[in-house]
Amino acid sequence: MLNARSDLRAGQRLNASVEGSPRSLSPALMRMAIAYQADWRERTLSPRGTSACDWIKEALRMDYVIRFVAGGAVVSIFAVLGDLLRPKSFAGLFGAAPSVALAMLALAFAKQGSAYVAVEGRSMLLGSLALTLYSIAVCQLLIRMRVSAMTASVLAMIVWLGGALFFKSILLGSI
Amino acid sequence: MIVRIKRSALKQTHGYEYLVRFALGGLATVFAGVIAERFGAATGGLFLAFPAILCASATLVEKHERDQKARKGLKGTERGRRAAALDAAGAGWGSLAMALFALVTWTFCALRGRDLTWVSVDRLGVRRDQPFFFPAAKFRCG
Repeated sequence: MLNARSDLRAGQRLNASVEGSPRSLSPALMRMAIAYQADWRERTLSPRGTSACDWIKEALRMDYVIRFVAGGAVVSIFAVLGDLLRPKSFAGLFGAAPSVALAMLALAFAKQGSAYVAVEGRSMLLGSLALTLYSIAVCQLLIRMRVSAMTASVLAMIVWLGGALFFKSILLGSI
Repeated sequence: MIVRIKRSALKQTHGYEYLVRFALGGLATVFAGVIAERFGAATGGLFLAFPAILCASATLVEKHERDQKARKGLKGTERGRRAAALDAAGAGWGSLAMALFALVTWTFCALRGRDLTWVSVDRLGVRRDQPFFFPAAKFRCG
């Protein structure tokens, strides 16, 4: 019996016998069989082997790789368009192109469906309003405060984050 | 405003600048994904409008203008700053277009799976008897 506890197939046979003819077993054997059944179910339903963990890690890593490549490619395409077009104020439109969103929403739509994308789109609407505030802040910092583009764009991140969280807390109810 | 294509602008951009943009874009996408997994779709969606690209683009525009003036023996700091400000002003208008994109995406996806949407949205933490926006409001939505 002890050997059988470590054997998955024996467990399956035992399960079949317990479920099939419970009255033909003695009470002690019945208790042992039920205990084993619970143990077998736990082991079967939640495998703790390293191979499963590795598989999940690998899948997650692959998802990140796909996101990285898709996001990088879409962003690069919009950046090249922004470089090519003149005047500068028109080319700047492509600085706020939904490049990250295109890659992310396509993956989310394929994986989680339209309901998930609807929730993300709703939040993206608030994020893009915060991006408007960010652009205004960058302009003001560059022209009035006369700081460099790097300093202005990094400092204005505070405006974006603050604006996005403010809009979310006001319009969606929680941060 | 007459829009035109300036092909010579591609020659000004170095290979490493394309790599920086690619890496920044990729990292911003991965970061948005991590936030969405960790804090949920409602918070993750905010980061779909993360200004990572604008940051890199403004810096590069300023550098290109400064270098262009420096080749002629002039100091191009002010011109570079103004060019970056113009770029950011354009991005401001672009962000309104992005808001429109988000609105269309949201509306389309919410309407597409209308019956299933409410069930799934309930699971994501939004109550059925509350509107998507202004959760404290008393009226019903949908």
